[in-house]
Amino acid sequence: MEDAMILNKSSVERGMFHGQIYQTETIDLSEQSRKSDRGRSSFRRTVTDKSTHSHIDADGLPYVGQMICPGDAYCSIYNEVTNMTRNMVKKGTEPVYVDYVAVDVKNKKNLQKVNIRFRHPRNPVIGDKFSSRHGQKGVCSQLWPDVDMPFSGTTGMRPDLVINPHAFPSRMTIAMLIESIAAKVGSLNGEFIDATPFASSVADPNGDSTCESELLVDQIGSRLKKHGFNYHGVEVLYSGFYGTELPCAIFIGPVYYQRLRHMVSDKFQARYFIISLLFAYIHQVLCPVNQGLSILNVFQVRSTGTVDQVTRQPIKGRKKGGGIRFGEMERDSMLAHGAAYLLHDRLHTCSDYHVADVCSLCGSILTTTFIQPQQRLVREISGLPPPRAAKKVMCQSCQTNEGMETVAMPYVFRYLAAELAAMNIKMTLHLGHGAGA
Amino acid sequence: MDGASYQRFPKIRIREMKDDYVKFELRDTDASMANALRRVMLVEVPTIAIDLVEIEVNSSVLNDEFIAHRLGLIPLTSERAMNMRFSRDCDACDGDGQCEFCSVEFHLRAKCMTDQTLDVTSKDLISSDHTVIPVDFSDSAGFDSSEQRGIIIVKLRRGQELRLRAIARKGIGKDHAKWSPAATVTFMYEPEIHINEDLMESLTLDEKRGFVESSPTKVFDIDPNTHQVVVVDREAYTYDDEVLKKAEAMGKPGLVEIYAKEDNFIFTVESTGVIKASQLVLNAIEILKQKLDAVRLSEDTVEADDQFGELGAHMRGG
Ligand SMILES: [Zn+2]
Ligand SMILES: [Zn+2]
Repeated sequence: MEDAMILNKSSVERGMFHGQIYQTETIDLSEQSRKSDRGRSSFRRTVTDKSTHSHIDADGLPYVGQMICPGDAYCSIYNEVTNMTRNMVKKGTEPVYVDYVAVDVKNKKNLQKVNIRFRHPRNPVIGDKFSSRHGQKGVCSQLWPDVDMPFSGTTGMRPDLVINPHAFPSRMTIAMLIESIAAKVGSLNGEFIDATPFASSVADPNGDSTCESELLVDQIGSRLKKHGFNYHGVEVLYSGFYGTELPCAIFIGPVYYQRLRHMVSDKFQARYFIISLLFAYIHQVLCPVNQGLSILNVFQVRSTGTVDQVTRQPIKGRKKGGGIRFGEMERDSMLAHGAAYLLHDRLHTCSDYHVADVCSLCGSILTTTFIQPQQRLVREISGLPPPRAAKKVMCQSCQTNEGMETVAMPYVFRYLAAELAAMNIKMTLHLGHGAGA
Repeated sequence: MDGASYQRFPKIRIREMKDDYVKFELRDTDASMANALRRVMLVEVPTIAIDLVEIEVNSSVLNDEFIAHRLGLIPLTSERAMNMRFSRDCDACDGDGQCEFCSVEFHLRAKCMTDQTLDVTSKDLISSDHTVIPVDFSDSAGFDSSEQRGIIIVKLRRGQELRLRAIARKGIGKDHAKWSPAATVTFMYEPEIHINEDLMESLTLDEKRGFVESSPTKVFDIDPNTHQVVVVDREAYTYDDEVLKKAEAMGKPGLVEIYAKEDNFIFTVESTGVIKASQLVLNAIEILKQKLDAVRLSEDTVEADDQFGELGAHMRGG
């Protein structure tokens, strides 16, 4: 994928890019209850049901530091009127920790309002986004163990993060390269490097430093060389898998990286979704025995859900539970792989599959109408089973049902025909007997 | 395959050996063997690290998981690890991981009673086994030993308290990086450098100097008496091709010829302190032997043939 990066799994295990998200939930009993119930409910745990006692303390609130899994109760509310205890259940998909419980003591008599702060631990996982300070953002696509990473023959260093050099030419973020090489010299010397732009031009011409007003990169290069490193900041690395020298030297150095807030665990299951689809397809191709089952899988995964009223295609937008865009570029890559069945499945079967009636005499798909069989009423009255009407569609313009054929097509095609008709353009279909027909 | 033997007899020559550092030559073998040894040293030599933490009181600024993670990363002396059991296949405790054969218990109690910040360090961890203790870096580092108080776990201010019980278990670096005994394991091919003396003599002294300085590491030098270019440290060569490029740029290709001896390796091993670097190498060889035995034995058994027979036939193109 574009701008993918590989993180060192061992570094992650040592705590690299570890993060936490705080989420506070306010429970205000005076707000929740209806006017008649006001002041009648309080935080209290039930005595009868001991199963929640591991999560909820005697005051009806969670223990600080407690881990709460999705579906677990974390707080219970007792209603005096109904004599019922209601548990607040944690939603979501990941376990959280109770970080802090703050109680509102304005109301001295009985507690009405609490703030519960939850802590979501977020270790880097595949799909999380990271960025340097130069807008070079990327998504972690692999977590590789330390031993698999390439290593330097002289120092034995293994990288924390590997990025793709194709991120540079079009974006021209030279500053990131300078940061890397300058940081390398800086860490070898144990000092900071001043990388102020145009510093050499602004420098006082009478100052002493003018004589060495060469490019920063040149200064850095020669200092790197003094330390026994390559002038350009590249190093000879060895493959972690084979132990052989990599065919070219690799530019390596320290760069400040940040973790961005877009984390996959927040993003529904969009990613797993796609993978499961492709997986089902692979099954279909590789194991013809399981074909029926696999097709069924694909069908279930995707074709349920809301669709657009006009095009009958799945709507976009994750919030509304829509599908994932499969655009032209995706289509092209599928074509390049020759995966015609997958393409057909994605763009047709799982999208706006539609069986249209076409009149082969006039070639129109818009002039077809359903015929209401006349005898049906009579037959129903007489108790006979309704006969299966052979063709209950007819062409309105030809006034016959002789040339009616059914053709599978995307529903948008019918929509296109309707739009064209609205502009006084007639679309005619010529039906033929293809190889599959 | 008509019985031709490809067996080789690798040799090891130790160059330099300290407690946490060893440098040796590995001769008469190939990159696959050298790399296997490197990989085993990094992720398959067992050590002991804290794996389970039960927190009784924690009013510090760091949360429970964070402290547990920090405790896990503390290096513990692991000479015992090779003879210890993995708690997952320990018979004595049914994989419970709490018995003396597969675990070591630690206790930590710290409370700050003064206005001065209290550093809770690895030295505050009380071990149930005197052979498994946090690694002491104070003497080896050469710092003033009264200053060095171990690895800081958390800092406490007045009134804050940390009380916990931790269980350390045997593990390998493959499962989690905290069990890796090696800080650095690296090797390089031994270089072989030939100077074309006739061509070299055609250079002026300045050109020679330029050539010598073209290498970032000090591989060549000029003899002050004879003004000849000599190889002072061929192992300093990093295969960066800088001198070759320089020779090319001077219009003298073939000035030097550099080959990598593909069956000789120079290893550098640095341990994290949990076991001695020399022991790390020995343990790695032992584990590598066990792994090879496992392959060899499974090949002979009938069960393995049942298991892999079809696969083998498939791989032969059947
Ligand atoms: Zn018609
Ligand atoms: Zn045990």
